[in-house]
Amino acid sequence: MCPVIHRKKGAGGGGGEAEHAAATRGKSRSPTPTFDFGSFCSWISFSAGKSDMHAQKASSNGITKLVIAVPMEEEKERSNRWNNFLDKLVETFEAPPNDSFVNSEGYTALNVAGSEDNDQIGASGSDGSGEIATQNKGKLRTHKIQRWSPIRSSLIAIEQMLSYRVKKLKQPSSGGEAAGRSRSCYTLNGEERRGMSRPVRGEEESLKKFDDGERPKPVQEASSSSCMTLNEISHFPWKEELESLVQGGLPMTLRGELWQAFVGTKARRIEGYYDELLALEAESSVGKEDESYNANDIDNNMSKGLQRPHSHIEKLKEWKEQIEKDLPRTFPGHPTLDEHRRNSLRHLLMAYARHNPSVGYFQDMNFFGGLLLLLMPEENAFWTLVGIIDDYFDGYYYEGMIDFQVDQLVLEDLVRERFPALVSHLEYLGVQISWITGPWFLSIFVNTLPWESVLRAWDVFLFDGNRVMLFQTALALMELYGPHLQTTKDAGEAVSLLQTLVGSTFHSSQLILAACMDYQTVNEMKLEHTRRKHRPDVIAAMEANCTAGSHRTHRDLYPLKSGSAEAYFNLTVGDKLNSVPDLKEQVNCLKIELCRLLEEKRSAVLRAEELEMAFMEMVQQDNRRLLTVNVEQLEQEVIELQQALSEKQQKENFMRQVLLRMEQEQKVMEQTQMLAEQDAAAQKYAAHMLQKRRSWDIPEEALAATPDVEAIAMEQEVACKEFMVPVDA
Amino acid sequence: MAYKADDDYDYLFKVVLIGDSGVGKSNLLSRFTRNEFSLESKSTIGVEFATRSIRVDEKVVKAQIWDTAGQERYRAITSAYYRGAVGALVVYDITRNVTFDNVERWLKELRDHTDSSIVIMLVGNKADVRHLRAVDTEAATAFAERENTYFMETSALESTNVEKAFTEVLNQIYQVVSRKALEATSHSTSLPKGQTINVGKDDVSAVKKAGCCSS
Repeated sequence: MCPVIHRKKGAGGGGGEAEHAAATRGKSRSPTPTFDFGSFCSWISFSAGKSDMHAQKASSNGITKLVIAVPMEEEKERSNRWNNFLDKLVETFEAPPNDSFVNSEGYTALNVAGSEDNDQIGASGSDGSGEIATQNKGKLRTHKIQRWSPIRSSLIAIEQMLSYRVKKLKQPSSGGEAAGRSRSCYTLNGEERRGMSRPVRGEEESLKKFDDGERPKPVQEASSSSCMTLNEISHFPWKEELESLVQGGLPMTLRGELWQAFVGTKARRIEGYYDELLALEAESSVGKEDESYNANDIDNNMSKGLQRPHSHIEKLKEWKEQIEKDLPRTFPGHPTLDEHRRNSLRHLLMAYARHNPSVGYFQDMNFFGGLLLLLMPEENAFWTLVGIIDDYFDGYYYEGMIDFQVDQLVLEDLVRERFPALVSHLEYLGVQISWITGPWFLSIFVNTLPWESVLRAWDVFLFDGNRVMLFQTALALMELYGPHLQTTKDAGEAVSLLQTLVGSTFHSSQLILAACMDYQTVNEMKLEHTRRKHRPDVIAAMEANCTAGSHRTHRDLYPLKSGSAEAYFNLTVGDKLNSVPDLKEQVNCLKIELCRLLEEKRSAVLRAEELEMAFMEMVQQDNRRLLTVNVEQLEQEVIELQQALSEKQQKENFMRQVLLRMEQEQKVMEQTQMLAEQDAAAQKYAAHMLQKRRSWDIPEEALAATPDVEAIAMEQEVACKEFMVPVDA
Repeated sequence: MAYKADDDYDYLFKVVLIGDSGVGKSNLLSRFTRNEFSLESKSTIGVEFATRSIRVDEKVVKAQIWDTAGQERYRAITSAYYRGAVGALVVYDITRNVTFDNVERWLKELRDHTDSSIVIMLVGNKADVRHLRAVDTEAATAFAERENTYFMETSALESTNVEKAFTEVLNQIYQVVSRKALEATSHSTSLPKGQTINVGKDDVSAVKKAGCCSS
């Protein structure tokens, strides 16, 4: 299942020859590899297989599923692009002192990383930096695994370009005395120590860097590192090309070494420092561990609830215990993270805790360490980890995690600015954005995104040298999942949606490019500006809690408006009453009480708002229901009315018809009346004529008969006819 | 906060799982919600989350369980997750005394950040590791009585009492909530019904009148 084999199959196009060589080499790796692409991939595919077996589990807790989503063609294309770039780079870069440097270049670049330890050392030996390697080799102690190995020569140009950033190593003091004084330095608090040691270290580091004289250095390099910053762009015209290559993803074969180049692992390294840390650790662990452990417990209990004065040793014990707990919980069930590697991880983490006691050990560091150990040897991983935590995450993991909280506020601002609808929906659900994004930032996406995406985000993040990429990726994820998020109905649903991204299958290139391109405007300067705005609030909230005596941390990740009010109160009241020392305690008590009350009020107000919102929602729903009832009633009435109307219309029609018929009848009657009148007139006329005739012939009879004429018309008519006929005849 | 929703559940309760690192919070959660246990689970970062619905008294209760990171360092962040929780399981490891001693601090933290009516269950986990027991059941019972919390010893590995512990907490929350609801309804005469509703009613009657006239 090893992707190297896939590559071999897929290598049909250009550069197939070299790919072939790389593939075969990858297969025949030594039994104890320092870092190994092949095994890393097999780890990923193993885990993927595992997740299939426990598909249900994977989808529900979303963590164990490690999906590698890059098609092998893409990986191949990527490494081709990088190889071309590196070839070009070597040609244009200042000629190194050794001739073999250029000659071996094309070959080394195509070499599979760490395919064989000896091969690795051999290759780097040719560029002049082998001195370190051989020294180390000579010193190789109880471990079979090599602890330090320089990165391949072809990447030195990149390393040099980026190591100008390494100006401020923050360890207790110079390398020579590394062992002795880590303890005494602990008494200083983090702020002071950082402020004091930084400039000193900077000088020493640059001195050391140039005293080394071990790696090929162009003449200009001999100037100070600040010059490098100024001339950065003119010296490195290929920087932009490199940037776009980084955003396109690093090839798995080069990733570990490129990461070291980005972080400036070599520039950070002080020879012997790591070994001394380990030696210290070994000494202390031989001692009376068990006894002091119990004593530690008792101390813990006695001082619990108050400001517990941890001694350095106590803290170390605590961390050690935590590390032991977390070791088996780091990428559990991982085949390559075997006993040896876990041992390395233990050393690495303990060494770091000793190196920077103000950070010590925190849960997450085990994942960082584990990931780095999969890509590079132990000491390289140590210095890379030092770079990431001391530099990239400066201030993040100190007690109180102030910078982390500030960053969350900054991110919230950004999200609010870009996705106002989403934010208001989340607020409606009562979800704080940091619930979702907090774990992303703390773990740099390890365990929260699919593996390929994690690695790709780390590529850009390490190259950038600051935390901008975290913001960009978070925003891109919000954009990607915003619409889905807005359909969620409760807080749990919303949070769990974005917590189970590990199992989701989105295209990592798409995500990373969206993060880098769409959110270009998010840059370190802007972020720093917003950070400055929020930092006082966070610190004020922290202090308010510290003055409360108990060790409890502040209620809210988000100091609301009243946060600054509290700070103000602290100041004014404190100033006024400083002159009355007797009352000081009382005032403090009152202050604490007031802070508490303010906080309570704040939460009560919030709660009231929530309730009001819920109530309004209910009222609206009620209204809606009533309205629908209204509408239904109205509709029914309308229907009734319509029915009545149609009935009436029918009646009207009927009446109209009746009327028409009556009119017609009337007409007929009139006509008959007219006819009757005409008849009567005709009869009258006839009668008249008859009378006339009679008056001529028998006037007396006719005169006597006239009154009867109209009364008995029929008889008259008949009589007339009877009379007329004989007359005519 | 518990609120009724008309989906597939009657009540939604937020419950938090707290306690020192490595006492088995995540495994308790996975045992309860998915009936799974893993000896090699990864450490929790920030907060994780799972749900399960159970039946209480003919009602469907959906438990929304928040599993928090145990390391002291993360308390600055995790306390933000407590808001709105109506139930909590404070977990310690019966094989490690220090985790039991820290329970007091966890309780304080919890009470500082949540409503006073929150239902708390003290849980002594890893009860299967009998030969390494460091915390007596009696001591824990006494402590729980003093602190006025429920108490149970569980084993996520052997799956003993896990279901019972969660169910008991949810049951108690349900009792609290339904008692509250009862009180609310008995005092609800003064509850404003909302003017908006009245306006709507007026409209209805007006319409109705018009309807009557026409028919």
